[in-house]
Amino acid sequence: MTPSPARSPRALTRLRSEGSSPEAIDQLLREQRIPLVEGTTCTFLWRGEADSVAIEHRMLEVPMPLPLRRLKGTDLWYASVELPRGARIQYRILVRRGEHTESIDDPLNPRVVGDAIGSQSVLEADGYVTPDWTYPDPAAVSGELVDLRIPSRALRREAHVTLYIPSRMRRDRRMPLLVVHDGGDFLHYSSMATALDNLMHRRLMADCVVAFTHPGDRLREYSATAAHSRFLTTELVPQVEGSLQLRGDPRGRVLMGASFGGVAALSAAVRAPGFYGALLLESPSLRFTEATPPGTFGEVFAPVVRFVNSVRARPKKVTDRIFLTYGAFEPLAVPDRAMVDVLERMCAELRVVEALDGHNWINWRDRLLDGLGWLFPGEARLIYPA
Amino acid sequence: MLESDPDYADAERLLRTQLDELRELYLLRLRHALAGVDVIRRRFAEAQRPLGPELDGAIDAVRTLDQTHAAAIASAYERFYTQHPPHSRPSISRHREEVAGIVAGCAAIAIAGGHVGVLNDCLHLYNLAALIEERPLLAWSSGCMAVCERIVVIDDDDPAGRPEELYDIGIGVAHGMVALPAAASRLHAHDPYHLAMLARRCAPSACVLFDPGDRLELQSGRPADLGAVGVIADDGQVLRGAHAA
Repeated sequence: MTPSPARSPRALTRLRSEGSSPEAIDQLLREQRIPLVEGTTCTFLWRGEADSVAIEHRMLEVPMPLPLRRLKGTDLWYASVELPRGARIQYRILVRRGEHTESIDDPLNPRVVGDAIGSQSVLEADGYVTPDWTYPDPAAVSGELVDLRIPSRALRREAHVTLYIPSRMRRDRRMPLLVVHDGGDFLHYSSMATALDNLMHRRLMADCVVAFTHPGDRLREYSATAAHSRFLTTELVPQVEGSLQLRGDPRGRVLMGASFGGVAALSAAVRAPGFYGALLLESPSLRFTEATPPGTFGEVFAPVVRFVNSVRARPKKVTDRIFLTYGAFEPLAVPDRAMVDVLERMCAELRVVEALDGHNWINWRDRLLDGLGWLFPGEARLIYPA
Repeated sequence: MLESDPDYADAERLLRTQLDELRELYLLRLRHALAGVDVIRRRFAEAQRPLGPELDGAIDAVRTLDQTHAAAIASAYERFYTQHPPHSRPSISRHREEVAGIVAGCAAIAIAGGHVGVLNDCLHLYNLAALIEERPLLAWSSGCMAVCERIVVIDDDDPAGRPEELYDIGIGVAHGMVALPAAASRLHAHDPYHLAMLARRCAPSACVLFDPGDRLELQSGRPADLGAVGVIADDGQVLRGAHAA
């Protein structure tokens, strides 16, 4: 991925040739999808008066922020980048007027996503397609979401867990259990209940019960603490497996987490080797300091760094399978890539998917089929037209 | 039926668990064996050397794995049917008699598609192969697979990335062929090497591709005219018409 300031997109070339009048700009903005996507060339546009305009983003090898240039004699600003087919990025526009810089969603782009931190505009490069299984399907029977309050001695608080009970749940079938960190965010920002409904309905993954956990003090609990691991292994999992008569063996237990949740999942597996059959790690925050001084990543990361350093020093097999995914356009791509060799020694089978996306809930949603389809193989391949 | 015979249901569940474990280990070994073949093929290709006995040996290892898996499945079924003879269980024999009665009144038998595993289990459980006798048999979709000796499942869109696998043993009334229905949607544009591998794994049976409208007649349980369908040749080409025949 590279910035391409020298290459003018075709739409802007046409605009220039037509005189770049305000009416022509109006027409361009009305008729074209913004940012412009012309083959691999993607062009951000902003219109208005400002001292400078830039794009705030996480794209690798692109200046951060990416400055926009003003189209001569107009109030239209632009910058182009080359994006590989199928890529997807999230960004905001930085508008500076005098000493004041404002960070805003792209007013020319209706595609906006939000999470607990805020909203971001979305650029979908040529070839990106939202997976059809992320949309509600009237043919798929929804699983049931049940809220539980579990008094936890390990966490010294009442733990909130949302259980997803698949529509085909039957007493005579012992299903596996998937435990998801940041459950509320996965349900809200990644539409995970809809994804589960569809993937199970289409038998792209096997039916399973899912426990969506809601953190308390997230950054503390998920930073490889023994208390959180103990909560999962000695309280949550036995209670859910017992009450719902699930499989109750390592092959029927999978831990999943994104970002700090990925650290929490790996940490729980390391503290209970062989208890969990698989891990699904999405952009895990596996920071380590082999090549950087301690404290590089701040106080919040200190326990994570200690944990990852210890794992890297003595990797041991803790589970059968690990699915690792991360975005090529996120800073964690570097340490996550460097963890591949280590994770390979911590399991019997490792699968890695590097997505053309970033550190966000939509990327983690889009990878659910890759991860869940591999860890809970479905029977779709055995079903032929009647 | 399983609800009315809990003991048989328990034994059947145990058999499924055993078969699932066999399949999991087979797929694990198969992936590595196929990767081994691929490595050898690439090495010879990069060195621009003709493929020789080394590749044949690697492919033989895959064939042996398929055969061993087929034998393991057969042994599991044999043990199960020896320990739990279906005809001695009133719940099953009643159903078998019922099915036999229905078939006796039929001029022909049609076997449709659906879940190939469930279909195959039912055909075995009700011993359909013994009931067909001289009746015309029409089968389509997964029905085609289940009437063969071996059931091979292909699916290039499988999210779990499972390779073409020997899934089960069919009722074996169609000989000399492995049926691959919905071929166009399941088997993407492959390199000939990939298809050749599949053909060599299934040999001496022919890999027969079925898509909507394709029709193959069998005489005495063997394909009468392979020219009517697509067949994967040993070199990976899909032959149709006179070439396939």
